Amino acid sequence: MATWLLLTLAAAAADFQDQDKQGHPTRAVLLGGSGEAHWNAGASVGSPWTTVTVQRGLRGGWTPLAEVQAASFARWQPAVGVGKRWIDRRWRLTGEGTVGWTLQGDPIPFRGPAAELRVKGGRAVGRFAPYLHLGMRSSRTEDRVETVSGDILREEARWETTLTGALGTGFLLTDRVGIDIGLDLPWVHMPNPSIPGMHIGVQTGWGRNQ
Amino acid sequence: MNRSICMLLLLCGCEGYVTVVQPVEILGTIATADGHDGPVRLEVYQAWSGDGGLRYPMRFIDASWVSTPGDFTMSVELPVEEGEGLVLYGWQDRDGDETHCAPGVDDELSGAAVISETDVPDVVDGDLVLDSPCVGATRLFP
Repeated sequence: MATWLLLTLAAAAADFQDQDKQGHPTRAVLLGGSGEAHWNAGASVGSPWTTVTVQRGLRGGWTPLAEVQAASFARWQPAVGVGKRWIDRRWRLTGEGTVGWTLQGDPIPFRGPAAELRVKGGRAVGRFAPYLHLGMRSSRTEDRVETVSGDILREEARWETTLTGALGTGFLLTDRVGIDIGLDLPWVHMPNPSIPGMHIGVQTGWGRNQ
Repeated sequence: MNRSICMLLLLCGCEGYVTVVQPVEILGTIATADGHDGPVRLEVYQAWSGDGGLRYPMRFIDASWVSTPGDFTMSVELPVEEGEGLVLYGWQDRDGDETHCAPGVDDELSGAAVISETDVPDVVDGDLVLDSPCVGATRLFP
């Protein structure tokens, strides 16, 4: 509670309209929170994660977003959500929440709603934008026992909780384009150990002068 | 339009593992070779499971206790896409430790009845004779 209050006060004190802070698409996507009326998009490919994100900045540091994450193109995680820049000074800290679906086929079928809370943090260091993402994602599905004729005998909910994380750095190429490289640490079925992955990504944006 | 709705439902529906089972009612009688009374642990196995080189016998399905030899009924659900057949196995707990032939015990009789190695009817007769001391299920089948 105290942490939330502190973050809210810090967010209220931040100057979201400062163009330098609203900033570059790479900062917006990797550190979270687009500038007001800015559209930003990012895409990354890696092993196992491939991600596409689109987001738009609103007044007050709010940033609706839509994303699709895919693990080895066998597990798909489409989602929509909203981000809020909590701190936007030398360091930027953004909270994001999404709701969506987890879609995974055989041999471990899993189809059902999902939600994720995460924080993105980092700072601009010249053209670099080192970042850290930490989150928790939970998905729910229903296992079913049925007879040969299709009569359902019982259904049982199954939950899957995943700690998510990424660590890397962005690099600003031009005013509207940047790239990043990072490590991914999805922690599926915690506390089973994670198999780390890595990705490279590109970010772009438009609408900076609206 | 209908196809779009179907696609939406397919995308949004919750579905994890789907296990297709055949409910089977087992009606039978348990007898011991020496007529001894005492609780019997009854175990149900699918005779075979898996394919090709990974095929193996005696896939455990369910178990229950009956208070004494005699008539019994038991309901089980056989996962028909994962195995086939039905084998009954039982052993008598003579010292009350719920362990089959713990060290120092060598008189707990066991036995198996192969109901089917392929298709299983919805209702089966399963007469079981316990006549082999301290023999495990996989020693009795195949």
